[in-house]
Amino acid sequence: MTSSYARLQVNPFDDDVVREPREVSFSVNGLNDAPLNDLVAEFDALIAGELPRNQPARPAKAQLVVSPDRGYGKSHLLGRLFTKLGRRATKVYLRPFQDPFKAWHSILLLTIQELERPDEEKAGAPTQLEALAVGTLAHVAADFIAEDGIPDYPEAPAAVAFLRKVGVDPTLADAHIRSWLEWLAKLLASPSEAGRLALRLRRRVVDLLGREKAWLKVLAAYALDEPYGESRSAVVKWLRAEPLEPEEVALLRLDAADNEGRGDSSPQEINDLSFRQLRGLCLLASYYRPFVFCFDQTEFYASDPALIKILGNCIDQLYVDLHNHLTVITANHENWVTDILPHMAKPQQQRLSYEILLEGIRKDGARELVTERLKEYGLGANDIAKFFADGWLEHVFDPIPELGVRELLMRAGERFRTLAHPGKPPTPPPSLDDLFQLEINGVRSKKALMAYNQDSLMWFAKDIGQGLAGVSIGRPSNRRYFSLEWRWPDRWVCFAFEGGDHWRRWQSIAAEVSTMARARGERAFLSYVFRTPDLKKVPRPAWLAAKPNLDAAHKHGFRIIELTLEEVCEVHAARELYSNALQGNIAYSGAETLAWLQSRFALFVKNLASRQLTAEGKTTGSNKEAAAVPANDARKPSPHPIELDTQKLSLVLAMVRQQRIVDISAVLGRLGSEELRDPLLRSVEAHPNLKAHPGPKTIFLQWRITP
Amino acid sequence: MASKLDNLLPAIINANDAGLTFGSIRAKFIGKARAKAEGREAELREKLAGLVREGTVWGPLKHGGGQYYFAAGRGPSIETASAVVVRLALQSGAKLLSRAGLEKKVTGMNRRFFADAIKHAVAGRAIVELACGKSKYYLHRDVAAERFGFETTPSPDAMPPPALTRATEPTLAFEDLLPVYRRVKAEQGGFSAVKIFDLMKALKRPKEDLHRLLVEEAKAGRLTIHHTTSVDLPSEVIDAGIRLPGFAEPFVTVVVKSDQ
Repeated sequence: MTSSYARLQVNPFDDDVVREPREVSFSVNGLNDAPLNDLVAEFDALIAGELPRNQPARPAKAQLVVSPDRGYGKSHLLGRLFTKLGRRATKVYLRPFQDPFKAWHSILLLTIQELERPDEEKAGAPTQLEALAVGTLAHVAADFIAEDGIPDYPEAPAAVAFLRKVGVDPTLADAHIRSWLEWLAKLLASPSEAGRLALRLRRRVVDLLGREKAWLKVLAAYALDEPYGESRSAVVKWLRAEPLEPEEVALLRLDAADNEGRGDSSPQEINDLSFRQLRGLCLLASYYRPFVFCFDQTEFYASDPALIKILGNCIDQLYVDLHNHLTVITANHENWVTDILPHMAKPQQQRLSYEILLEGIRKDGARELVTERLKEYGLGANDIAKFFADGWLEHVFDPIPELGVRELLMRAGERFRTLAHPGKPPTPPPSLDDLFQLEINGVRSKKALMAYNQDSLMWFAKDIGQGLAGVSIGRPSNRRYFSLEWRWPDRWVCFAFEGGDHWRRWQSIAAEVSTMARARGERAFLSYVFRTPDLKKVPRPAWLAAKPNLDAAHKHGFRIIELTLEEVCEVHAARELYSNALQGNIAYSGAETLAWLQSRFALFVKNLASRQLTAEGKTTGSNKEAAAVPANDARKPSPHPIELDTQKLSLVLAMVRQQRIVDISAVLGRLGSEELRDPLLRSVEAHPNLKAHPGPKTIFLQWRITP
Repeated sequence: MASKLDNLLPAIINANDAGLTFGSIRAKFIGKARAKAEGREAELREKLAGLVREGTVWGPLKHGGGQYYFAAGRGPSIETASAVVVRLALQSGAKLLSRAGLEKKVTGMNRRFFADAIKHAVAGRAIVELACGKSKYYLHRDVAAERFGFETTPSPDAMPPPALTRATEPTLAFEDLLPVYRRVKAEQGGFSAVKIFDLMKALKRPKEDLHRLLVEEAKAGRLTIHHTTSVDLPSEVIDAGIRLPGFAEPFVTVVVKSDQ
């Protein structure tokens, strides 16, 4: 009987932390329904009535979901909320921001990242931004025709009805909508007609601070362009509050004044513009669907009281100044009341709802959850009966009839190991190295976790950098771009965090390097910006105006560090591991985990700190870095996620279907190339029958039977 | 002549509850000369942001066209708005004030906190909310007490003293626990998870008695008990926790289910 257990390569109960709310697929009947219903009820108040809204919906207070202890399912609840709201909301999962000066920029970037994903990870599915653009424009066009009328247009009522239908469900495939969007784009090209269209927005109290025409043009450009087209790329830059090149302004038919991002903007200006962009998106939700902003992993903010204050400010501004959204904040009780709340100003605390308390699991729910997990791994009725034999479940719930879900999963994991390998001594808890490898495999399995994230990079430089002997870490004073410094009496190392690719911004960064180099005194001076593979390569050969500054900065020790995909995964995995420790999700404290991570990355940060400069500004360090000006302009990021071709995918499907659970190395062996690991993982992510199970040593692929 | 930025914090403190707008701060500390203004404004913004980060100043609070900054503990809040609401209700006496009428009388930045101020005042039993059709009216508690000749709520000092010896103490019951739990819960801002240590202190009963009651009630499903999270709690809080076989960590907090 136990051989069924022994044959399984994966312990079904090892997966006890939700890394991404979208991965939640099962929930116990009735468990935490009350908290879920509270959140849904608050959300439903936002969508009362028909689209488009006559005026933007006022938000409720931020909903505070509190777990009495770790492991009661905060992130799982968010996952259920995401599933329950489905296409009714744009759901933004917010990991903690790291830079107190640019919190809104961080929130905006994560919002745009979410909008660039489709509602469902299927090949060819429209992005959420496309649906928002089409939905908004369809309603604006309908308002325009209905209110102003088009002379001699007898089909106006039918056109309005059609556009309203598209507005309500912009994902409907209909060739006609394209011709309507083209018509709208032509109208927007005429200043007077664009003004009349913009008036429709103001009539619905969508006040975009004088940028109504710009927003409409931007949405039209996005809706009409192909995925990964130049217009879309420019639109996303504009939305992200980045400056546009003149040709991009022309491409989008914007006025020069609409290009508000400036190459030499200060962090405060970037943050202010980011807030205005987010405000605009929220207002436009009057035409489409509300946003749900979820602040998870809030334990992270406790590391810096400045971050807590800014979190409080964000909660306050979300409530006061942004419309059409629901904000949800999750926290562990003790972390929240001990570490966070005392540092939050009283008026900001008043922007929080009363706590929404999570419940523990009881015996019936536990039976349901354990049975489901065992079934998912192909175990039959006899095996399941064996699992519950000898009153195991009754023993778990004696004398406490209600436990945290993770506590149950850990007990079930022990039970599974005992049944699979009877007589074997209990497995020691996983080492930090194992847990870190597991996080790396977890990040690698999710495309969304691998994207550029300035907060992760800043955390890495700040907290991992603390492991350097004798270092003082802080924020350089009076600097625009360099927001973190490592300081020693004889050495000064500074970091800027920039994901954009506007030459003027990079010229300004380079100019700041030269200014800082002059202020270094007798100290050695180095400066860095990290870049990730998903970003456009910088600098570009065409940046002739910026070249002198960049060359000068290079001589002063400035380097752009091009992280490999593996390094990006490691940085993000490190932050996830540390976050898990802070939340009490693993058996190591935050301090232990951070010390281990500092040791793990000691060589990397030491190389950054102690790179030697020659007289000509050349370096002797080993980190990969971008040249000041690359030889050609071919260094573009991979434009879109590459998945396996149909033939290879069929091979994978056949193999996983037959074996149910299979090591990714075996699949890659069959495919004939280890280099197909990432395309394979992207295909797994997009396929409903495949699921990746990251483990410390490898990733297992599982066949899932979908309804 | 523009002032030095060292005087920024004293200026905001001196502004008391009125606070200072960014515009007035800018005028005071930068002046009107455009030359050098850009650099000084960046410096001013940074200084202001630093004060906000330190917690000595909070803001900005948008009101009208201005962005206001206040010294810590100053400026409008639900409490200040609630005090205004309570005062207005008292002044109005038996002439009931409608919600809309009351809101009109709450002016300035306190208006921003009006809805919460009403809830705060009602929850604190300073005023009572009355309904007539869809309209709501508010009456001050002292006015009601005066008209009906009610006694006010007795203070805790008026409670009978606890028994002197344990031998005479009755067995600790859920009914004894509940009011204390509610009080501690209210004191910590309404959060349901209350430390066993705090209950023990408030009940002034032996740990064993409390543990027995909590485990019994947990079994009965009337409350739940929980471990600590990743926060390092004081040793006395851990020591007051319940240790059960099969669980590596003590249970240190309690949630009464019916009281959520």
